[in-house]
Amino acid sequence: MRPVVASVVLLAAAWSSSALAQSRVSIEVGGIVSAYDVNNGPAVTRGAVRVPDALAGSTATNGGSDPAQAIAAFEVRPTVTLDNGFLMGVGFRVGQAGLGDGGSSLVGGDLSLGYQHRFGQFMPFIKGMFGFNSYDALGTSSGHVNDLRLDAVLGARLYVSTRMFVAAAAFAGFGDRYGGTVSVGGDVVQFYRRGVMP
Amino acid sequence: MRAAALALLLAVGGCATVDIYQYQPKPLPVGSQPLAVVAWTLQDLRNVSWSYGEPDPDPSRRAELAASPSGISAGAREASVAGSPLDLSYAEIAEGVRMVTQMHGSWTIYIYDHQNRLVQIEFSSYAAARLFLDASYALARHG
Repeated sequence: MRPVVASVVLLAAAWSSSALAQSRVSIEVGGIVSAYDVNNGPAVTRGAVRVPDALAGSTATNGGSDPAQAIAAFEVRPTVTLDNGFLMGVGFRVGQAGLGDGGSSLVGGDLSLGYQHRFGQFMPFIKGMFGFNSYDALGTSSGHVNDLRLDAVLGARLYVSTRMFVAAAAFAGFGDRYGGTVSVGGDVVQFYRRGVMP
Repeated sequence: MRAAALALLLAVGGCATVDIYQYQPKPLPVGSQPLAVVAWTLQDLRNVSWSYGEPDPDPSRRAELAASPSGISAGAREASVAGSPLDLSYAEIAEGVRMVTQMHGSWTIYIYDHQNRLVQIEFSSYAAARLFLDASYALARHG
């Protein structure tokens, strides 16, 4: 653990430029809703970058329900932001593929890299996000789908205190067709460059 | 509700602020002996961490750190499989100080030795960290 902390401190120090610059380690929790080509069974092969997994052996059991082609999930995203603009986050999500009756549970994860800049309490950011969604194909008893996704994300944080913020973002790309997120978060660690040691 | 839960979580988990400083040497108080000052500052030593290629060290391990006219050295009390002792000259300390950080009242000095390996020395007081570096600088200059 100490080497990890030391690495973050050294990165924050090495990549900081101004005398009172600040870098942060934050955690965001929130929700995401996305239009999505949810796999409806073995005969359907829509979507972006799809990795079929055991679809061949699945059994169609669609009873007529037709959930919306969308996903919704709860997300947790630890994020590092440095005062030179660098942003990196790792996201974890759990939710539902196909909204409405007949949807299936979904899990996923992603890695995002981007740029941010803080203007007072307002911190807009842009980033690229690469990850996956994993869920059971709708209307089947055993089919499972792993979708890769690559999205461009545009959003902003609004700091409501020195550490707490609310954030919103919109995204579009491959996998997640388009959608949005809303989250709240806090800075777990803040790094300040104080100049010369007193 | 969720925001309140997160605020509570962060409050319980403990948010941290890390202040990062650059080191610039200052002269020691008139009449003080640098080696004695180094030895005195080690009374406020809280942790010393060095990784010379071995895996993440066991935090329960205890080392003894001692000052000599040429530098400081430390060795684990228990024999470790892959660990190696710390041996750091005052010149390496003076030239290798990368930064000093302060968090929750602890002052940590980050030093890279002549082989570019990171050594962290944590003191429980500002005075100890400041005087340790100033005395090391004085010993390096006169050594």
